[in-house]
Amino acid sequence: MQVLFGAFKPLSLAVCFALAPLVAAGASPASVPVSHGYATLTQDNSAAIGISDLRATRQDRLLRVQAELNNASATNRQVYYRFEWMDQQGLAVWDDEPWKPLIVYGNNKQTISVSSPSFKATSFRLVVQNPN
Amino acid sequence: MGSNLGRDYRTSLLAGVMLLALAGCQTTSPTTGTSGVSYGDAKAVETVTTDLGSTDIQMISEKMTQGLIQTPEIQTLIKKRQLLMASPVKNKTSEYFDTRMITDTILTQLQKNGVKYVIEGEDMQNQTDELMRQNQSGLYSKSKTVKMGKMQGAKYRLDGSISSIVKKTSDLKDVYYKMNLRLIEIETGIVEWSDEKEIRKSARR
Repeated sequence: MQVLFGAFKPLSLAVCFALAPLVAAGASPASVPVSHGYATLTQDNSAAIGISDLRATRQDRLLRVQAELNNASATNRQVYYRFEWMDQQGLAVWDDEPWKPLIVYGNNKQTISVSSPSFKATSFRLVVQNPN
Repeated sequence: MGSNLGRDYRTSLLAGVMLLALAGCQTTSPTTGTSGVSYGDAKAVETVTTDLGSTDIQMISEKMTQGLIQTPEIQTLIKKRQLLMASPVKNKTSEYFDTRMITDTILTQLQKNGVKYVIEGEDMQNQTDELMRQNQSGLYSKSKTVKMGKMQGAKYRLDGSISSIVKKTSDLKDVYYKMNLRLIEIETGIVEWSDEKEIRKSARR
């Protein structure tokens, strides 16, 4: 499991933009120097799936997150994802979300766009599983 | 002879230790029964059949909750402590399932964010029964009885439907589900918000 991305206060948005090309290129930083959470991606051997972009902002007391998954292979991939929502102390503020299936078409990108289900969420962790 | 005794002693000791270890395994596991029943992850992606399943209900509820709490009407409702209610969601699919599973989950998730809602339908009978019992049965102390005529009406209600299109060939079944949910201001009948969740499930036979 690779730690790919950190998350977020509005301030850390800049860090995300800075890291996006790194992730898209397939690099796998062990950790990211932002303090309020992270996203993880479980890869298969092909490492076809990557997180090519990740953005977050707080608006109307809700955390809005957009992640772009990139499929570098020619075949369609079924991935599963869910978010974990935490407060400033890193404590979970929401029950476990269901795993959600998502198809990322071959040589294509797929965007996940969500809003936090709770006003208490100040950071998130996106977990993506690519078990193909 | 002596070495045989020593070997026997060591074998017995080893067997004893193994038995103790096994006994230890049995007693530390907090389970009972041998029927092969096991617990699974309630949040796992369920792909047993193409029928509407737990993952579908969870994904629909989640999307609707996330959409609803972004609306200004719900945020104002929370601030002003106004009330919400959910009308029964119409099941227009060919399957039987209890659509209250969806609205109950949405209401529960909204309540965790401060939304107050009032009961309706099946729950209302229990509510009126209890009010009647306390006020008309003569069994309760007057000072400890709740008053009649204090129930509050909702400002908004949720209403919606779930539909499906099923296509079958000799080797493929494809089901498309669409859930629609609307937030309606009760006084005016105006639909203030609506959203849809689409799900496609396919199975090869």
